[in-house]
Amino acid sequence: MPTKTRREILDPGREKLGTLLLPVLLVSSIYLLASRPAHAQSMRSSDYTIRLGNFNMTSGLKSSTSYSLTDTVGQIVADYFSSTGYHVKAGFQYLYTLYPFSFSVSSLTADLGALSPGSFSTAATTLTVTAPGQGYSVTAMESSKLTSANSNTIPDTICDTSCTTTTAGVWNSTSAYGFGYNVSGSDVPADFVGSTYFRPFPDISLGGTPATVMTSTAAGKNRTATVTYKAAISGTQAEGSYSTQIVYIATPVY
Amino acid sequence: MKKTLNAAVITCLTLLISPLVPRAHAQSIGLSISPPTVEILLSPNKKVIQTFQLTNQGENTEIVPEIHAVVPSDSAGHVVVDPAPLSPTKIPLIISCDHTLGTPFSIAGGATVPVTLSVEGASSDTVTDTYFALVLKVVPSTPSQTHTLSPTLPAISTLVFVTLTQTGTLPINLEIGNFDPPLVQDSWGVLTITPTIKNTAPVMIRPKGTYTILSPQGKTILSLPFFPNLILKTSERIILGEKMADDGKTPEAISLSWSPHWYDVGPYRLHLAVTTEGGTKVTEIEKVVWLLPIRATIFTALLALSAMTLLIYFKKRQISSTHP
Repeated sequence: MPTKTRREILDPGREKLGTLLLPVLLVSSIYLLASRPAHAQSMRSSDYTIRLGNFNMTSGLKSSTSYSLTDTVGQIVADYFSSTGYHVKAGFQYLYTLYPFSFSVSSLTADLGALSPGSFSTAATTLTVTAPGQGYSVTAMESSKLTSANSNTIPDTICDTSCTTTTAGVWNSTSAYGFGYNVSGSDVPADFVGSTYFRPFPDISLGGTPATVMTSTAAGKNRTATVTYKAAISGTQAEGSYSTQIVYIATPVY
Repeated sequence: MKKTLNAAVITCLTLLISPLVPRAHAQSIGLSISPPTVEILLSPNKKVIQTFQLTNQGENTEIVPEIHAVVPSDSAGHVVVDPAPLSPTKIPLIISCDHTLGTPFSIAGGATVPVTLSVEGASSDTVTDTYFALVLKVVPSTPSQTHTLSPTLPAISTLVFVTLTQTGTLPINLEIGNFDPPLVQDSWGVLTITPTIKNTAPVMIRPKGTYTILSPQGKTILSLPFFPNLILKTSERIILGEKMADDGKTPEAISLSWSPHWYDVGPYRLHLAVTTEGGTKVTEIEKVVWLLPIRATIFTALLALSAMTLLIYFKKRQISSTHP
C-alpha cells in the first residue's frame, strides 16, 4: 500500500489545485505580456517629390493664364475659374513620384502546345507592376472563348465542381474540360488558395466584367505574379488550332 | 579517317554559325506612363491639352491608344475599366489624341514618346463629371495556327477625371459613414477605425478634415488631418490620416489608429470633421468610446493570484519541513 506524505494527508485538494493553477497562471501571464497589439500597416509613399504635372492650355475664350486649386467651392475657385475656364492637377496629390507607374509581361503569347484528351496543357506568363501612390489593380479578360478557324470552341472551365470568373475552384480532373487560369505571387486575390485553384476568364464577347488578378492599396515596386493558363479537352473536341486574346489592363489607384 | 574529318569540319562550322542564327524567344513588354492620374476642371467650350509620357521598357512594339470609361470599384480608390472603348457621343467632351485613337503606332524599345490628349468641354449648363482612362494597349502578335495559344495583350492606363462646369461653383454633399467605434475599448490595445466619406454629389471632390480624440477632461489627445484623397461622384472612400514621413517633407497616408496609454480610463470622444479645401465645414460627427484597463486588470489579478499561490505553496513547504 502506497504511503502518503504529510502534505498530502494535511490538504490533498489544495495540493492538486496548486499544481494545476501554476501552469495556467504562467501561460496566461506569458500571453498577456508577450502578445503585442495588432497595428494597421501604414501605407507609405516614401519616394515622393513635389512637382506639378506637365500640361499646356489652349482656349478660344481664354482671358488669363492664371489658375487655382479646385478647392473652396464657390469661393476662390470661382474667381480664378471664371477668368481661365480650366484647371488641371496632374499626378498624385500634386506630387510627382520618383518612379513611374509601370507594367510588364514576360511574354506576349501563352502557348499551350498541342492539346490531347486526358491530360492538361499549361503555359505561364509573369506580370510585374510598379505603382506609386496608393496602389494599383490589374484586370484580365478574354476576347472570346478559345476558338478555331472553323469556329469550334473550347469552353471556359467550371473546374472540378464549380468556379466562376470571381471565385476560384479546385481543378484537378482532366475530365473537367475547359480553359482557365491560376495566379500566384504578390497581391493576388485570396480565392487562389493554391496552385490547384483556377478561374475562367471573363468573356468580353458575352459581356463579362474584367476580373481583378492583382490588387493593392499600397505603393510598391516590382510586384510580381505568375498567371498559369490551363486547358483540358474531351476526346470529341474538333481538331484545329484554337486561340483567343487575353487582355491585361494595369490601372493606378486615384 | 575521312568521315571523322568531315564530322569535325561540320561541327566547327555549326559552332561558328550558331551565334549568327537568331534565337527564338518569347517577346516581353514593359510600359510605364506619367502622370498616372489627371484631374481637370473645365468650362464648356474650353480646351485643355495634357501630355503623357509613355516609355517602352521592353522590345520594339506597336501600341494602340484607346479611351475607356472607368467607374470606382471600391472605397480604396480602385476603378474598373470598361472593356469597350468609350463612345464619344455618350460624353459631354470632345477628346482627341495626337496618335489616332484605335490606330497602332510604333515605339522602339527603351524609347519615351509623348502622347497628347486634347479635351474640350461641350456646351452644357449642367455640372457633370466624366471619368475615363487613356488605355495604351500592345498590339497582339499574329497568332501562329500550329498550336493552341493565347496572345496576351498588356495595357497600361492613366486616369483622367473631368468636371465640366460653367461657373466653377460645385455642389457638395458629403456624408460620413461606417463610423462604428466599439463602445468599450481596452486601453492596452490599439483603437483603429475605418470610417468612409460618401460623396453623393454629381461631381468629384477632394475634401479635407480632421480626426480628433478628446480626453474625459476635454483635452485634445490626438489631432490627425485627413489625407486629401479624391472622392469621385456618387462613391465613397475610406478616410486615411496624413502624417509626414521621416524626411519631414513627404506626406504619407496612414490608417486612423490610436494607441492609448494603459492607464487611460474613461469616456473618450472621437470626432471627425470634414471640410472643403478652403476650410468650410461640411459635416462632423462624434462618438464616445469607454477606455477600460481590461488587460491590465486581468494581468494584475493574475499576478496577485500567482503571488498568493506561491505564498501558500512556500508556506506549506515551510510547515511540512518544520513538522516532519
